This record gives sequence, structure tokens and C-alpha cells, in this order.
Amino acid sequence: MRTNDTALGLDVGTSRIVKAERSGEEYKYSSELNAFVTIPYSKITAGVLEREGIPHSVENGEIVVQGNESEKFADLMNAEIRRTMTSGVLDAKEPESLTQIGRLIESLVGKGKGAKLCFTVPAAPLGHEKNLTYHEATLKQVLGDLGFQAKAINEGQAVVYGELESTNFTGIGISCGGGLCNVCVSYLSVPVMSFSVPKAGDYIDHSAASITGERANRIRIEKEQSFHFNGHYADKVHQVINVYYDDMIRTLVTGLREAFANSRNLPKMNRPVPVVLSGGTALPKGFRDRFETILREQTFPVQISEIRMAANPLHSTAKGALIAALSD
Amino acid sequence: MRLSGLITGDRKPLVEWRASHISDPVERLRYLRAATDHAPRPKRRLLVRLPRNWRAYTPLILLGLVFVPGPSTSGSVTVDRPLPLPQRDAHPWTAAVPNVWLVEKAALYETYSNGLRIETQYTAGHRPRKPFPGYSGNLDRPAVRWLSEPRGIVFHTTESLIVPFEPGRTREMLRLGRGLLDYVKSIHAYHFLIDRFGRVFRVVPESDVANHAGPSVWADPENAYVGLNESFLGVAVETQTGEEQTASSGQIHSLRILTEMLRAKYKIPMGNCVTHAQVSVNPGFMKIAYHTDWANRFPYLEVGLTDNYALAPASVAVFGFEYDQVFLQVMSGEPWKGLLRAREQVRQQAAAAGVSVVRYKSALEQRYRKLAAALAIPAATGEKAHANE
Repeated sequence: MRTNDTALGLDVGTSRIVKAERSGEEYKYSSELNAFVTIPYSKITAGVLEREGIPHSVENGEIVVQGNESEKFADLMNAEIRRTMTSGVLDAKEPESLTQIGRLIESLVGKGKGAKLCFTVPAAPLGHEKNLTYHEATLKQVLGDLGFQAKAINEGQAVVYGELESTNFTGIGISCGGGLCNVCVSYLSVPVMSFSVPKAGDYIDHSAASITGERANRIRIEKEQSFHFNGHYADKVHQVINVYYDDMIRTLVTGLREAFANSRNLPKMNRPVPVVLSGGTALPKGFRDRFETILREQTFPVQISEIRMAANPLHSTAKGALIAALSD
Repeated sequence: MRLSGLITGDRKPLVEWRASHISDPVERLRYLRAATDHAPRPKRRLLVRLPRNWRAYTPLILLGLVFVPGPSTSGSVTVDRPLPLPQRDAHPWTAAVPNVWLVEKAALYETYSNGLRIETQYTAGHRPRKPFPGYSGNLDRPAVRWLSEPRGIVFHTTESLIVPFEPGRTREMLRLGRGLLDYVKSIHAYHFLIDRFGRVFRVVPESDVANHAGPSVWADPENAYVGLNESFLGVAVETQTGEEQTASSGQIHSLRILTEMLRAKYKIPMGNCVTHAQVSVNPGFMKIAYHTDWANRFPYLEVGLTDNYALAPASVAVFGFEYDQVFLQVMSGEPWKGLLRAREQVRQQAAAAGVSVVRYKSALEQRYRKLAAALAIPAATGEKAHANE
């Protein structure tokens, strides 16, 4: 068996950045929130951050806290966290996006010394020719500057590589993230169709926030910590989250159906194919069942053998990117 | 969208099979990426590499050298010899037919005297079976008998997604089984499906045709059959053909009692109960085993049959098809005993006819093509909409 354990996989998502690496037969993961917050500079605070190993930098007389701890500091300082990405790509309206994502990535992966690294990029939204070149090229440059031989991989395809080994990487990989839902149809490891749907976790948060009057961040915390699809909702927030989840899943399923209908060059799958769901937005209990119910409401152009959750929905994309890097 | 590198046709089963035997995901992906890479590259080792136990193939290889077609043969060959059907006195054709009868028929199931229970909730009618031809007599002027009852059974594997057979995976297995049943029902893929737990489901009534065999041939002492969708019943086991026996004991038990019932009901001889790999052909290239399900390890003896891998495949003995390197790879060093016998039969028949083996095989091939054309069987197999066609 040929292995190259120095390679890395990096899932660069709107919400989180996840690193995967392999040590022998074991996969290891670490992640950082893809966000940052600016707090006033003080020597004591800077010292504490340094001691605790919290990713931060001092810029223009302020401390910029990056990653997981940014949320806590935002709460403490009653400030909003800022994100480097929106809708799956670098946020053009955030002046610090490039600098901060560079720091976040460096804090996760360190220096490359020529190691291989595959990082995820989204697919173009269905029906749109969104230009993803800038996003991909920028990340490649950031990683290249850190000393990596970096290569982009479609996010949905990474899910397939991470989860569908048992079907020889044939099937449909879906990653439901913060900014986008990414879909890839793969046939014997070859991506034959990929697209994204711009309704995902952030869409649910913001839409539900506008209805309930809550802050989007509170909606997100409710969604991640206590929401589940059981048909009985204790409060209005859960009820509204359910409505927008349904809308997201329906959009995703409709997108899949349309993509199959409009694609002329798909190979004929000679047996039913599996669908695997991953990503933080797919985490609530009952998500798989709801997805299956909506998918099976109408006939689907391809026979589905099973719909299942990824073994580890938060890490499967990074794992797939790692497998791609190792196999290069 | 990158489609140029997709594997289709003859290579696909081999590539999939090989990939599924690579346990490390990284190595498996590396292999598949190389296999689907369409860029020009040096010749694959796969095509020229001999199997590890290549010495076991020596007789086949030597016979292969004898059978290599010459650079040119005349367009039409006439060899007036009897169709080389199997001899009547062998055990697979003379063994007694079991005695099994219907005990109870309810709305959603049937039970039989040997303990067989057939679930019928997934049964959906398809096209009623039309009279089909059985060929006998001479090679160039075969006699045709029109038959209506099923003459045999073709055993399939579903090659669908299989999870480990463990108590903790029961729900998953049930869910996969339901999905599979919905699918095979929608395409009328088999007459019967045996799920992971050995439950027998009728998918297509025996009076109707199922799309299970694709281009296929077989022969018994009375007739040769071309296109077995019409003439044979399809029985599928939810499993995959692999290096080890993957059918569960429950599935093998169900195979046994279902086979008994079908043999009793339609007076099917043991020799006409064969696997899809044994009957499937690729007419485009005149190769055997286009489909490779149950190419080996079908538990013939446990199912209460003779070892029918020892029977000479009609594709080779009667219609002049050949095996290829892909077939040898799939067989993992255990080619059917009947294959050598079939090739020897062809050699003897050619000698008896006083023509070269090449000329005799050309006659067999022409006979197949005429019969297939009459039955409108496609000359080339490729990607088809349905799993087995």
C-alpha cells in the first residue's frame, strides 16, 4: 500500500474551516470557526490570548481574535462576529476577508513545506454561471504562500470521496453548509454533475430571524442545539426554523430533479445509487427522514438505493479532500 | 462536466470488481482515477498480466492458440452437422423432479409444501410470455419447436449496496431491501428476489417476462434457447459476487426451496438451473460472460442441484462464443470445468465435420447471428437502461 501521510484535506466552508489529516489508518480532524472579531487592545488581553494559544493578531491598535474563540469574545464585548466568506465564497464586501482567512488557515495547517493539500470549493449555483475563479485562485495563493501544493476539489465530490467508498465512489454527495448546499453526482469517482443551491444554514437563520425578531445568531444557536424534526414544536422559533428548513430541502430536491432533467450527458446508472448527506445544517435529528420524505414525494429520475447521513457530517468533506490529496 | 473518461462497456464490470477489492479508500480512489483517465497512456499492465496461477490456465491457453481465427474466412460457411446439444443420459438431465405443491394462497403471500413462503406485495405484472422457440436438429437447418412454459432458471446477484450482516445493521438492511424491491419492481428485473434475510418476494409473475437475462443462450438435450428472458425464470439474491461466499445461510435455504418449487411446477431439469454469468453473452464481440453475476461460488450443491459449472456452456459448445482475458480475471483462477469440455466438443465436432475449427466456429457464429436476428436480439451490448439488459 502506498501512502503519503503528510497530505492534508481542508474543508473551507462559510461557517467553519475543517482540517483532516491521516496518521496510519486513523483520520484526525481539527476545525476553526471561519469568523473573527475585533476587540480593543490591552496588554493583559493580548497576554492571555497568547498564553491560551488562541488565534489572534494585533492590527492597527486592535486585537483581532480569529476562529472558535471569536464567538465568545463577541458575546463578551456585545459585538457582532465578522465572517470572511458569504454564500460559499470570499466576501467581497468584507475588507478583512483575505487577511483573516489567511491567518485562520495558517493557524490550522501551519507551514506546508511542499506537502499536498486539497481544499474544497463550491460548485456554481444551479442555472447561474457564478464566477468562482477569484475565490479558488485566492485560496490557492494563500495555501501556496504557506508552502503547500494546493489543489481545489468540489465540495460535493469531497463528500463522495469521504463517504461512498463502498460504492466505488458512485452516488450523490450533498453537503449542507452555512452558505450553500453543494451537490455532486459522481460515477466511479468521476464528478459528472455538480451544482450548489444558495439556500442553506444562513438562509434559515436570517429568514427565521426576520420573522421572529430574534438575532440571526440566536436562531443559529437554537437550530444547532435544540431543534429537531419531530412535528411538535414547543415555541415559535422552532416552528419558523422548521418552515425554512422545509423550504431549503424542497429547493435542494427540486434543484436535483431539474439538474438531472436538464443534463443530457449523464451516464446511465445501471443500479440504484446512494445519497449521502453531510454538513452542519444536516445535523438536526430527523433531517434525513424529512429529506427522504420530500425526495420520494415525486418520482426521481435516478433510482436511489438509500439516503443516509454521513458517518461524521461535520468532517466528511474534509476527509474526502484528504483522500483526494493522498490519492494524487 | 467531464464525461470523456467514463468507463463503459466491457471494461466497466472489471474495473468495478477490481476497485471493490481494494480496501484502502486512497488506493481505491487512485485506481479508479487511473482507470477513468482518458488521456493517452502506456498499455495497462492489466491487459497483459497473467494471473498469479497462470499455469492452471495452460490447457485453456493452448486451446486458445488452436482457436485463434485466421486472417480471413469466407463470408458464409455451411456445415451440415446436428446441433451439439448435451447428452440426455447425464445426471443433470435425468434427476427426478421434486414434489412440491401449493398449500395456501393468501392476499399477500403463498405457502408451499416444502416450507417456502412467497411474499407477493411487490408483484407487478409485465408483458405476458409469448411462445418462444427451442432449436434442435441440424446446425444449418434447425428444427423449431414453439414452447410456452418456462424451461429453466437463471440465478442472479443484485450487485446492489450490501452492508455487513450484523444485528446492529438490521434497520439499514431492511431499508436497502425495500429500496431495491421498489427498483427491481419498477424495471421488472427478475421474477423473484431473495432479500438479505432470505425472504422470497415475487416481483414479476411467472406467466410474464422479466428483463433479467439480456443477450443470453443455453441448451438442454432437447433444445437450444436464444434470449432467455422469454424462456427462463430470473431469481435474484440480494448480494454481490465476490471472492468469498456472500449469500447468507437464510438466502441459500430460500434458494433451495424456491428452486425445488419452480422445478416441481414447471418440470425443470437440474441442468437448466444456471447462473447469469454462464448464459450471458456479448454478441458484439462473440464473448461469453458479459454479465458476471454468480460467475463463481454459486452454492449449487447446497441449493440441491448438481454442480452445473461442470456443464459445457452452450454459448461456447453450440454457438461458438469465446472467453477473454476479462473473464479469466473475474474467475480468480477458477474457470468453469465445463468450459474446457465445451471447447473440446467444438474441436471434435469440427473434426467430425471435416473442417477446421476456425471454419466450424464461423458456422456456429453465423447460426447464432441468424437466430438472434430473427428474435431481434441486439448485436452489441452496452449501457442499457435496465440493470440486466
